Amino acid sequence: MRARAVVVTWILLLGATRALGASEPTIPYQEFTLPNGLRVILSEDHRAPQVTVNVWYHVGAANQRPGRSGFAHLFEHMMFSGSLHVPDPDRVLASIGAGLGGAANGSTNFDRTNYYTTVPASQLPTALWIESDRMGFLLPTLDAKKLATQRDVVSNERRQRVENQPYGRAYIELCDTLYPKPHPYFHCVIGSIEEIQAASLEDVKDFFREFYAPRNSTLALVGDFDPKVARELVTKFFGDISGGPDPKRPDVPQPKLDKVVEKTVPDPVARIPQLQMVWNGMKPFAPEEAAADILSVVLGGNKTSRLYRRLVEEKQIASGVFAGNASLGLGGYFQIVATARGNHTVAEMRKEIESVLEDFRKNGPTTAEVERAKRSVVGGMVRSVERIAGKADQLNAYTFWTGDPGYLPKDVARYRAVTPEQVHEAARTWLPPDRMLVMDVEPSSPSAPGARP
Amino acid sequence: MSRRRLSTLGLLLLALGCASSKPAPPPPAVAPAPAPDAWRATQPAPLAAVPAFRAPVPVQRALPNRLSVLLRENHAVPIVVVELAIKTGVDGDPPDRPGLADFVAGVLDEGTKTRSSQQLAEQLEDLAAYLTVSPGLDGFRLHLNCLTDTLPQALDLLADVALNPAFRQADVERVRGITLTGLEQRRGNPGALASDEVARLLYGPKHPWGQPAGGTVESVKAIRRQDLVRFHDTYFRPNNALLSVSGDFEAEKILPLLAERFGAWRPKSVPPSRLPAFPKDGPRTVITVDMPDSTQSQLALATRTLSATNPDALALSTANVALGGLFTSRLNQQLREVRGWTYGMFSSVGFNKRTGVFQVRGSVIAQHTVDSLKDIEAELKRYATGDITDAELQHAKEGILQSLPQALETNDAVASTFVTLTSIGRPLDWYATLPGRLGALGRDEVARVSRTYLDPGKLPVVVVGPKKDQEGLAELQLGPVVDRTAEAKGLAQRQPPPSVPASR
Repeated sequence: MRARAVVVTWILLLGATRALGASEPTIPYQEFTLPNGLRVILSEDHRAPQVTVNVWYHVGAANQRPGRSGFAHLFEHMMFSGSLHVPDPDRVLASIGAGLGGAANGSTNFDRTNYYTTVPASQLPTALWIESDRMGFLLPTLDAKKLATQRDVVSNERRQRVENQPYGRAYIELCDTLYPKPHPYFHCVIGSIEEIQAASLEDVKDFFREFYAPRNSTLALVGDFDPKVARELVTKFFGDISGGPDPKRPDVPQPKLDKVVEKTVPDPVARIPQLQMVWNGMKPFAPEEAAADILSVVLGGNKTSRLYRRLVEEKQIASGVFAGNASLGLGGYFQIVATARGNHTVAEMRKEIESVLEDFRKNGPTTAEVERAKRSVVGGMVRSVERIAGKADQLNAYTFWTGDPGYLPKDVARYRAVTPEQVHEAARTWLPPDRMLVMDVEPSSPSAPGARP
Repeated sequence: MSRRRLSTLGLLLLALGCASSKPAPPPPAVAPAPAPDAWRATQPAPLAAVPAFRAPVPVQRALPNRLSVLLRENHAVPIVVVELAIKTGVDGDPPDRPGLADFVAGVLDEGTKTRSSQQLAEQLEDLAAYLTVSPGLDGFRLHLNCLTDTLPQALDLLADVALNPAFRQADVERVRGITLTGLEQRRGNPGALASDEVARLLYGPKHPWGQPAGGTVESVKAIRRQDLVRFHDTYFRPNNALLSVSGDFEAEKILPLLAERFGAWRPKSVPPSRLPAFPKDGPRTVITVDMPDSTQSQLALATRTLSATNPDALALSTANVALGGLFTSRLNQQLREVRGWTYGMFSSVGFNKRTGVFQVRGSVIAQHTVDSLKDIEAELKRYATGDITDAELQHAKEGILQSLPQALETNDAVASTFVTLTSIGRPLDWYATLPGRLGALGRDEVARVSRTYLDPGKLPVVVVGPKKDQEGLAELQLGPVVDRTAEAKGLAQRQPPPSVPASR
């Protein structure tokens, strides 16, 4: 799921927007592009003597071949295994104080992979040294042993995050149903252990050559630096890396549900039944996205939401309920998740959710509900900009999806512009009663109270 | 999916130390590189030093009713965070009411004398503010985050929740049902089961901290509205509280706002806590909980160490980072990067004013459960000889020092950190003065503390995973193996039951 937004400086606007109770967030920046195609975004922030270096490669699960689920993420791990001139980046990072907590890491999602490093301001050259070396010189030192270790580590990551997490298995079932083979989202980002274990050294090399190059990435620096010095350093470390092939965005049609698909998912680590209702969704920054996001808040974003009030407060059949709109590059999904309370059942929850949705499709939201949800979303944008690491990632996110690193004020504006009619329309369009996935997650451990015999 | 889990070493619990500002060590040796790129083989020199980070220190004030106020102005973003801390938490639970403090926290923001649960939620959301109530082992935190220009209205809501909760019977019953469902969920969750077992081992079955997180089914069913009202009336007093504020405000202007809302709160003497003594270290044991369908085993080795104010605390924090706090630390290197048996194996230390906890924790592939314990034991034994290297020490210190700006970056973190420092008995300038103390910390001191506190010979072991993959466990001779599957999963009649997570 996409992060919402980030802010750095604040321009106080008077007048109409003042009524919404917030000053206007922007992230000031400057940018340049190296001759090899690397787009670079710089944003000064002198609050603390630190700088964060954030690279987005425009590659994720979307770019995987059939039979190679989990590969983009496995590859991410290989980027930490050393490169020609920096054989042990983790130890270098530890020596400059970036070995603890979340200072240096990466993440892979359906559509992109990012790498981020926060270091003392004086160590910017070393952060750029490490980042550029793995962009330009990863392959010479890659070997089968490094790959074998990370295949095992990633397999364990899957066990920890999916198999041993209550309801983790349902998420894989969601991906497999909405994105059947050979769709690259099949098995979600994490993939199957069998396919993770099947990855070869040649796969890794091919993937690097195809996707890991300046033309398929953007670099954002946020923090306590002199932009002139930063520009010189970036040019020095990244300037002579070969630009790479023409970037190709994956173009796979979104499979569409054409009926109600019902599935039962046995889960040995869950103890309480859960209901998930899922619909086909949209792409990030699609024209209807803001309305669909507001819809998710009004339906199941917080305590005043329709579903919380009905299922948790009035009927008291659920211990929690949530609605979310996940926009993805190849088409996302809209999801409602309700976890039972006590001995109440999935069937009871489904009946009430369907009743809430039916009413909503007919009558739509109130103005107060929509205004409240809009404030909550914009308030989240205000807060997410408190951290330099968050700002850097947001600059790269806006650049990737909209081409405009300075999109933040427009992002705020598109949420503020949402009307109750648009939210009503979004519910009718995106939550059809006759085309959805309904998953009944059933505790399957013999000792679970809700387990079926 | 990210490459490594974030270390659990949040700064807030840590008493971390810092480093000298020595230059980075020499670059690693590399193979000869092709000529044009030869310059890349050398790690670049740092830029000219910039002024060092200085951790924020609050201004201290008090309202006439003895309510302490800590203020830190920060005008970077239009946000104000106000954390109201109550200095009694799970430690106020009566022996026959485990889970009471958690229950109070669950109902507290479900309505006040003049606002229903829904009205309260609507008003908070209308301000784009959020308010969370968290119970801890030794306190509550009512944490408000609001936008600058709605501060007065948001403060009204915080004060109303803290001072005038209604504890309506209908809300109590709704929260009870949700709490019981949550307790049931924990019985399937390997991490939660391990935490409860660790707490029972560390604090004992009679101590409020030794109970299962959130209480037991029996106690949650037995708690009455009157218990909640009494707990609130007893402990929610200005003389047992603290207001910590960080963000976009001016001190002269916010004090009257706070006085208007909290000034009439009446002090009342709070009964001294009468906690049972912690259990004496008995013979080492290995606790197992069978999870037949799990593909991993959750491992935990833990012990009580020392309180936050003990002079050895900083050395212990530093020793821990080298052993298991960094990605490159020994435990993670061996279990993950050498063996490939885990996604991450880390250790942590945490302190409060009474004691502290050292814990090694991670999930490993089930078939290598026993092998992993063997490796962990070997690493711990070696480290407890005091063989930390100069490079390890430097990395640990540097990691602690350089994590401060990020750990204290947000107003949320700063306001909470002031509360933590107060609650564990450390001075408010602890982090501002840390670089000097850390710089003075020598290798011998860290080695001595490692020998004293990190000897695995007494660390109880908890294994939550498939029993079929535990062949050879007894042969490791870590202590008698005790199967607590029935108790942990609620399949047996509960004795005056177990525990609370050490990491709350």
